[in-house]
Amino acid sequence: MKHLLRATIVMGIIFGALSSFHATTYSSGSRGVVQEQPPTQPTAGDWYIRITDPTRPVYMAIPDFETGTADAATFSTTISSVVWNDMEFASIYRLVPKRNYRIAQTSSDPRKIDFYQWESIGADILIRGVTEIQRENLIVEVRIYAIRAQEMVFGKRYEGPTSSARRMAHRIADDILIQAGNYRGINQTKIAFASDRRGERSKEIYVMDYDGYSQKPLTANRSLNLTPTWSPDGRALGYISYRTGTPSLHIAHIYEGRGERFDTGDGMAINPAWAPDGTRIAFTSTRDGNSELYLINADGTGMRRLTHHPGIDTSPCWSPTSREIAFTSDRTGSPQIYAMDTEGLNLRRISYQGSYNDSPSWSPSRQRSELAFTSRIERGPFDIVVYDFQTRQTRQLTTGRGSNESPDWSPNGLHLVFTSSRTGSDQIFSMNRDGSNQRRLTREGKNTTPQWGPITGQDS
Amino acid sequence: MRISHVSRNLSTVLLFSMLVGACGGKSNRPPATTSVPPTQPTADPAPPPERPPEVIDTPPPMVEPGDDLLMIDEGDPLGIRDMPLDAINDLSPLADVPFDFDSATLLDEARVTLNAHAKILAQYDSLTVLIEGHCDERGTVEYNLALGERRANAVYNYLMNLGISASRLKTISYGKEFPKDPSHDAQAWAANRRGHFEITGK
Repeated sequence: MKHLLRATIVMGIIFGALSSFHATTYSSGSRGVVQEQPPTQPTAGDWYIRITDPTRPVYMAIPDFETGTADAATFSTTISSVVWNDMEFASIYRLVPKRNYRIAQTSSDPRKIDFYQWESIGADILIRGVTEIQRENLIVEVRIYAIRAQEMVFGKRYEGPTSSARRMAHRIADDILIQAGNYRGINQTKIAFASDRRGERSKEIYVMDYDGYSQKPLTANRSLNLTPTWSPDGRALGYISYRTGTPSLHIAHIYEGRGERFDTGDGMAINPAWAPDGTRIAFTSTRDGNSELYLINADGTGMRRLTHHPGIDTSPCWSPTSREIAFTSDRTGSPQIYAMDTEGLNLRRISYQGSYNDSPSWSPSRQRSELAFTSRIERGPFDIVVYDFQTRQTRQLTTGRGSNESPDWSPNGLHLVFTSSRTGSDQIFSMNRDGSNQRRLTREGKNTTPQWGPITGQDS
Repeated sequence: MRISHVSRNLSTVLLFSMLVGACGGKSNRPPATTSVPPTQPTADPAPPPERPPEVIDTPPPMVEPGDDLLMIDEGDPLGIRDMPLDAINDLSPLADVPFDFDSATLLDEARVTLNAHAKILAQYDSLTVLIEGHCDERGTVEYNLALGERRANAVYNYLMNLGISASRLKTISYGKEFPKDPSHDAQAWAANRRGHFEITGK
């Protein structure tokens, strides 16, 4: 059922992420060695519960990392700004403004912490980092201090090539989020999207860091490549390509530099969505004469039909349990969101507001059952809304600046990435789940259909 | 010869329907007679190759339907038989057909145009055509891919019902990926919601 294609995947572009840096956790205050936990099973230090008051926000101070050797200065600056930016985006803590730090940094010995002064400027938690170059390697030592308890609660040493500075910084930010509150950070995740920056009549699939850095092409076939979808292990991307004429479902195995095309019969295949359990891909095909939803196994076998309706059925997305699928159908005359189980049964309509609803994305959060999608209220603009399955309420996250569409959740359910034309051309933006903190991530060419990649097991 | 037998009636009906079609909307090409190839849009000043210059300068003759003056070249009224495919497509002998927003229903204006296309395809019975469904920029990438397919299908089914063999027609949807007019206003949107015809073989 599969066609092996010549390697069209641009080799090595994501390989960089594999070249590891080394990190060791070491003794922390009076509490002995902190056992490192993989990010997928996070465990916060219980100090965090002890020092924080659930009734008020937690304030964190992150002074610029110190420079141990002079040649580390630029890396120190990079790492400081990445960690700050990551913490600001995460929106978990209030960051104490940097201009207030001077009063607490009076000591001539930088290793000595004046806990009373840090407390006087309102900090609950202090992050300190020291950056050095040793034997051409970049070394960063990070310590977390609980200010009122006056103790170091976590420390870790990171070592790797200087080219890994940004990745090291994202890793540091994720470690801080785990240690200080058990949050699964998304700072090391990637976002895939389609871009026409290489030429007007073509679009290629690109991959970038979550913060918009390191944008690199995954495909280079000068055809139309659209709507990427990540495998849950982050090692493969499904996408649609017109390279053989009719749009068809392709898989890029990004670490192997290998591509394949699934044979889905006649007609076009569009809008693929990889199940969170990794076993199947849902997509739209016109093989039976009309846009219907189908499933195919992740190895290209076992294609089966899910919907039977003369209207358009398209844009599938999966529930986090992989047991339900939300999708778009115009069976009532306008595109609206529906949900059903993976047998095609228990069909129910989700969206009742708006004249045009499409591109649903189901929140991966186990705490909140929510569906984000594109909605057009009457004849107005297109905006991102979120439907809450518990309250049956819909809230609007973007408001009328350009057209906002194709939302996709971050893997921790706290953020969304989407396309907006507010700047005059389609660009990728990210935001918090309440619509705050909207940031532009792309600038070159037109960029659409972003998909936020998974949190993958990281080397420690 | 088969073509010359039918072409008198065909070409007069063709002329008539093209004139009617031209009156239907401003997005249509200027009225063209069977003896004069449609003129290029002003955005593309390059004249199509292999077209005799005297034909370009010939004003459309003032004729009534049925006028025998039209029968200048009964075997090749559009003058495209000897052209390479690219040149034929530059001429766009099969004009775009319009659609309403979020709709794949054929408008009356589109049916008139498609009737004319069917006659051209009957006359040039070796042409094969890719029918492209396109959408305006409003709405999502995802849904517009499905909508464009439905538009292409509506055109395909209409031409098949007029007797054009399915083996000569293929469909594809480009969703909103390739707008004809990149501006962001109602006029551009109308031009971009279209069924477009690419001659793929002759």
